[in-house]
Amino acid sequence: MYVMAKQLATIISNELRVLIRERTFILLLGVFLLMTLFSSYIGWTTKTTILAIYKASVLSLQHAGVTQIPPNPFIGIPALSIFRNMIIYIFLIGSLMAIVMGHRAFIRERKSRTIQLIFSKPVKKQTFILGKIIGITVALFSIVLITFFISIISSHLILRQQLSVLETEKLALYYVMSFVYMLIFAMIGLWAAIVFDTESLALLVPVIIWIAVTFIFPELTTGQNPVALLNPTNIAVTTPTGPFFTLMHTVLAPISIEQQYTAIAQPLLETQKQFQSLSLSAAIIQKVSSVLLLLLYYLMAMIVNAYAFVRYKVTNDKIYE
Amino acid sequence: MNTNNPVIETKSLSHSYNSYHALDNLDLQVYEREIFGFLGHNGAGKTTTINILTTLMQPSSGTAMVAGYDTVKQSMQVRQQIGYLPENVTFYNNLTAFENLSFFARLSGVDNVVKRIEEVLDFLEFRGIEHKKLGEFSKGMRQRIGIAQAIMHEPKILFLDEPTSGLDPLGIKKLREIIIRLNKEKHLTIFMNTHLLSEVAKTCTSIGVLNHGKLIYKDTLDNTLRRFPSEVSLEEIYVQMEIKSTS
Repeated sequence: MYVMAKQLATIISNELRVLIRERTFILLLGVFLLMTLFSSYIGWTTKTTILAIYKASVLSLQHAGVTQIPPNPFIGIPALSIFRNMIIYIFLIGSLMAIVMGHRAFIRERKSRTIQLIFSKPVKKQTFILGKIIGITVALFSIVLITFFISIISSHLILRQQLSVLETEKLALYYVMSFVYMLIFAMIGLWAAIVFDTESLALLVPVIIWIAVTFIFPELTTGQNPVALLNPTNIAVTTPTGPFFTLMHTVLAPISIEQQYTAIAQPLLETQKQFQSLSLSAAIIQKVSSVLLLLLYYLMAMIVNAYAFVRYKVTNDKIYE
Repeated sequence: MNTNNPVIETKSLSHSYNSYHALDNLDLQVYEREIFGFLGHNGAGKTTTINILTTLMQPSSGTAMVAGYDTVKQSMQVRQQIGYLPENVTFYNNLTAFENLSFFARLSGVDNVVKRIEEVLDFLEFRGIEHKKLGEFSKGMRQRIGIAQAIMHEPKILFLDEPTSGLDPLGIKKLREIIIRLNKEKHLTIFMNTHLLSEVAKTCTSIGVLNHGKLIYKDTLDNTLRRFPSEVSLEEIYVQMEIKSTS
């Protein structure tokens, strides 16, 4: 057991070291930081532009002698909603980069034949795959954790508003769910790198899955076209009526990972006014099925990876540098 | 005839890839402290044999014992006794030589990793490269790192799959010297797959020839050279064996 724990620690630390040296980790972190800053910046420019127009309108109305001035449009808008763009960034960019991270983690061992060296040492298959999964998990968690702190700092510096404890908790939970969502895609990338014979196929298949999850499933279950789905102002789409969409929604919505993620992300980021009054537990309870489904998909993805790796034949590999 | 116990012994070892028989009832013994050259044309079954002996794959039938352990039932014990350098391994190019060696040493359960890496690199006369990235290394330098990782945990048997493949003459000479020193000074038994007969003549103490999965010849190098006329080169002997076996 002690030997296995030492080997596990060695595999995890090596995975992290290689990720950093390959600059995958740095690239991913950089993209996430940019996404966070963009999200805050877009929220800030929207707010300042609308407020400037509002103030000019108020002055003009006052000059015209109007006494009943309409209220400031930003009064009552939830503070966290400025991060709503992050939902789209995560399911568009975050998941795609997570696929690359999972893909690289295993394809690199195959191409360099280090996989053969590793299994000429007294290392069990389950130790190796567990080490890979934990290594990817730690890397993604670090990225999400840094992004969370940057979000808080940016809301403080750019938006000049301090998040309350409840808002901070909701933001933290939102990033936890984003982390789980991206992990599912990292596992899909890892799985494809294990089972497919060529490097291009090992990358193409997860990308096809990503396209289906991000664009096709939501379109089938909501009747919205992909562009409409990507628009943050339309993010809370309602299910259209009609037998086809009712059937599609009933059958496909539970397996549409993106929809489950969006469903839990909306109350956590208070994308609409009615979510603002929700406590953290109420927000979770309202979308508990989505939380459980995301966790279930992650668990399933790990099991599928473990099974695929047990069946993987080290010596049959033909992907060499 | 060698009176030692064999450290590698296969009995009726066979392996098939679908309908293709890569190994056909291979009975082979390699004795302690031998440098065994395993010869054969491409596709003869050499790499399949080495894969089975290093526990990377399981045979379709038959048994293989390495250092007294069954390669299927006691694979972890076998791995503790062996070092292996596959053909054309490139390692982690973005990591330094030290980081690469440290990773494989830790997986092998080496305790004092830093000290051991220094010892091994000293033995290989390869100091000063520890903090260079593997991406900057030539093929010959990578092979030496490959040997270093393979002997890090002081194994009894070293498996080398086409170790001189792609090396320049100087790299081949250097690697040959290392293999001979490992055998003489560290008393390692060495099992080497190769198709370079000139290398076998200069390095090995015994040879085996594999043709279409069957062992068609095995003896010490001295006996082989004695058995055939002195003016006949090892290349010619090998070709004669192959032709005789095929006909």
